[in-house]
Amino acid sequence: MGGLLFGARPAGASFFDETTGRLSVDDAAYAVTFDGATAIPAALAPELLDRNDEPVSLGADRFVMDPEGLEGEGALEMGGEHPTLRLHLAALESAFGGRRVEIRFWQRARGTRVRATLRWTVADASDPEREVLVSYFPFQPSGRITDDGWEEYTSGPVDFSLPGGQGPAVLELQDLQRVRGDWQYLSYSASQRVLVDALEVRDLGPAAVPAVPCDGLSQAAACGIEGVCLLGRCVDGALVHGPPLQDDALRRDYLDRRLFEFRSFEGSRLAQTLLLTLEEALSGVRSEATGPTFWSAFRTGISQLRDGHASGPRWAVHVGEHVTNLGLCVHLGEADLLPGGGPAPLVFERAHDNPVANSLQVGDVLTAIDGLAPYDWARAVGLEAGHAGDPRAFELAVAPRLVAAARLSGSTMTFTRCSAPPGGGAPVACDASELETVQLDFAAQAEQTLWAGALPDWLDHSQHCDYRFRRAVADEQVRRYSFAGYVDDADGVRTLIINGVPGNYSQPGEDWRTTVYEALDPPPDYLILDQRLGNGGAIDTTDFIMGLFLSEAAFDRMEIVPQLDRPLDTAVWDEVQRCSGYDSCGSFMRWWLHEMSGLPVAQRGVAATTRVAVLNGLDVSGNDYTSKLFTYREGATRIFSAGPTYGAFGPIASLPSHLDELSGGSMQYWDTVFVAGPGDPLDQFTTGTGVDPDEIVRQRQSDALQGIDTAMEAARAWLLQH
Amino acid sequence: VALAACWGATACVQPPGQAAPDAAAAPDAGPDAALADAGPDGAAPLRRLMVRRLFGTTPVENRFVDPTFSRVDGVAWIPIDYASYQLASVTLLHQGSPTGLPVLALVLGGGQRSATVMGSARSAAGPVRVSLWLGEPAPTSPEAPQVRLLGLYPGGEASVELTPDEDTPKVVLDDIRWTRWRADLDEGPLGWATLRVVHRDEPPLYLNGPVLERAATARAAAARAAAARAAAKRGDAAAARAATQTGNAAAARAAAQTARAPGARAASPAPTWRPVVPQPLTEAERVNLHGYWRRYHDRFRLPFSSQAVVGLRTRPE
Repeated sequence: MGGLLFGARPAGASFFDETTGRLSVDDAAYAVTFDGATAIPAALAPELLDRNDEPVSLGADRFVMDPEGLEGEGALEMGGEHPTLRLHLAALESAFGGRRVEIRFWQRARGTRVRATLRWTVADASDPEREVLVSYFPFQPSGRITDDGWEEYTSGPVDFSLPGGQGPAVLELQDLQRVRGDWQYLSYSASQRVLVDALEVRDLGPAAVPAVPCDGLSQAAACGIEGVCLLGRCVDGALVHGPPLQDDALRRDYLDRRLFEFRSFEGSRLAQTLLLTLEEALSGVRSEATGPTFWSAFRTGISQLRDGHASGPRWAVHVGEHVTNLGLCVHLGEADLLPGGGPAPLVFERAHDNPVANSLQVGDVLTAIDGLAPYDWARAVGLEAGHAGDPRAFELAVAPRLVAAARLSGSTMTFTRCSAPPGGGAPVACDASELETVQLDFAAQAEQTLWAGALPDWLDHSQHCDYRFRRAVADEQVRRYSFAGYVDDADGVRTLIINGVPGNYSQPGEDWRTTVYEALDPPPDYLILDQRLGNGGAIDTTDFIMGLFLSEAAFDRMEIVPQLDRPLDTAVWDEVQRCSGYDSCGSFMRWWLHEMSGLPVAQRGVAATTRVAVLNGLDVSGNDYTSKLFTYREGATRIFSAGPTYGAFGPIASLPSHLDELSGGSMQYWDTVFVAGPGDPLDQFTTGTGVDPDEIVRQRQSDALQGIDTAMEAARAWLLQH
Repeated sequence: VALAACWGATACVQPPGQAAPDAAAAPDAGPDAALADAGPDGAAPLRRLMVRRLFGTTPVENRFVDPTFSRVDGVAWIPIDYASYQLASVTLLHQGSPTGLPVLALVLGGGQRSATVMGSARSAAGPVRVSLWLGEPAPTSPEAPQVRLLGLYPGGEASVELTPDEDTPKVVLDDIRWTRWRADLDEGPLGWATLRVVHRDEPPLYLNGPVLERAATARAAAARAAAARAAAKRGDAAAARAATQTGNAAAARAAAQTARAPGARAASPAPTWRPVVPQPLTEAERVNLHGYWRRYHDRFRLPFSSQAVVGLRTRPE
């Protein structure tokens, strides 16, 4: 990959004549001049859309004619009232099928500009209305710009065709105001415009990636340096990750900026000590980068920082967003019926009726993927790069992602079954001769479905896996984020289920608080708090629930501290102590427990003496805090889980997008010190290390075959041992 | 005076009679751009190619979270009307600007007497410089905007006032008169700081290119730019290249291009260091901040899934 050579005249490409200051597309392999309504080929089925996505005329009045313009005689004027232009590229398949291409165009802002995107889809052969998005990514600046405001954008090099032969379906240009309008506090200005000119397709030669079979492990050998394995076939890595930044100067600036952001803004003290890992990951793509390596270097480097709120920038959306678990929930369990036993991913649930799910049974053990032990496979294909929290929580956290991940790469999963005795009775361990094996070949499945243009409904089957084998509360909403519900059993044990700590600025959040309060006041003698799905949420809600569980004497406060480039000494703490607490306090935050939610004095610690068993699973952010705060309770408390929590102790901050990327990623600007009492040290930062369970409990295979939730049984046994 | 604009995060070609808008930023350009002053028939080209940089003429090591206003979402930037604690009206504009970055237009709504934009920057220990460009439709308004950097300074909660930068010439682009505002601080505030721009007039106020950087970075960049321009003026490409410390021919040619631009002045010195002393927050600032937090951030910024958090510094009675 190299910089652009101004003045060079590549074959089959446009040419900027520096002596005239004009661009010529005469030699381009394919070009659209925008010199008037007839200059856009009808074969591209151009659509100009208004703000309601209704087509409007693409007549002569949409074009600005200027013989001294950048190229030709005119340019398309769009934006504002007409924010979207779509060009359908099916007509180009005959010319560029099987080729590597680069699409470029120029734009000149007149108050706004457009973001361009390319979109590949696969449609069902029998029902063309039913289609699956395979890839979608934005264009990037090529680095070329003129002194009168024209700027060139490029798709970057990309193989034109999918393994099934389909080219990109749509090239869309859209006013940035429209792109960002849904989540920004910006006023839309209908009078802003942008000129678009000189679209060209460059033919860069044969496709770089062979459309051959592969799996996650054979990817590098089968697909080459530009390819990745997607649904059992090699595809261009640009379709999955996005093309790397093409221009040397911009790429250098971009990498420098992202590193600067982590050096300067990242609040986790542990992450600051690990920044070298990010620097090393990115140094490898400064001068040489491919679709598979550039953007994934961020994922790899950032995940090693152990900031559970950190994520890398995102340049592409691909079919993986829609590759589901087919209704299969696989979680970390205990394979106690298999020879050798031990921890292993276990089928907890089969929620749908489809050919894949029907081949498995609850209690089946995932024993291999592509011939490797499941977690070895997960590490080999890079799934750790999606796990930014405490690495000890990786196996627990990743288990329910394995089915979709294996589908995505076109791998073969091997499940091993030890059936329950016919006619009932307690299961007994199997010897090798009694085991049954089930293999799921997802490459073959993709060949018969997506790549063959056949999209049966069951491809979308999915289940929200919540790390629970059973749920004490029977409610069809029990997996929803804002759910809270409780039930009492005959032994006087109350089970309260939550899936996070939702903010109270919505009706579901208010309902959540009401339910939780009812469950804890008057307090039960014995309580199971089942937060095995703990997706975090709001600080004040965390304060509310934990304020009920802890007395004022049990815990003082949390210090939420931004990154400083000076010692956090007594003088600093004195300044912070005197500060009033708003924007002028350096973004320090002192979180007095009970105060953040305004919990009435009479309700503080109302459940402080209740004997509480906490069931953890995947617990992140707000549920890291609940878990940590439970360790300060005066009343008997015991945490049961298969592993530690995520260790994300701080608020998350989204980073700005640069260069039209889809997302800039995120990080924590803060870290947290827990201060139980006035004399506690103020330098014990917590981010990066999750809360360990008091008792490690994994769902046993033998219990699964009998419908028993191992963690709930262990919790009940502990609660009732008095 | 109609001036050449800095477009789309590129470097600026200086128009006649104007010095570089930001002496701290070394312009960059394509190697051939500097050589293409005239065609074979002597006519100047209609346009010239230049090189785009990520943040235009502003530094990458800018401690503002979002120098390009890409997140006006209540996190990196928030527009607010303090009278009602409702959102103020802002529009993002892509047009010619002093730094080549997008412009944020702040407009008073019906009945509004003022509108405020606030932005987050992570400060640094030691000397820092904070600056941004403010534009007004010519003729300029008699009601000057108020621009302050709020933070936790060594003496406590305080703010410093940014004032028009005497060392940087004003520029006019597309009928907007741009002035660089600046404050030099011998010691940056602790942790995160908030830039607060209050607009009290009917015509729009345009914001562009906010920068908070260490003074050492600003001085070094300014010195490099000045040296590069001086060397280029002498025709010493090697010295220009060395001065820019980029090690590439493009930077040296860019320096030459800038120096050879019609009417370009001799290299201007780095802006004089003029430290300002933080002043305690005014009562109005405290009241505004208090109300802002209570009425707005309680709703939008408390979630872990959002950015900042409200602080209860002292345990309520």
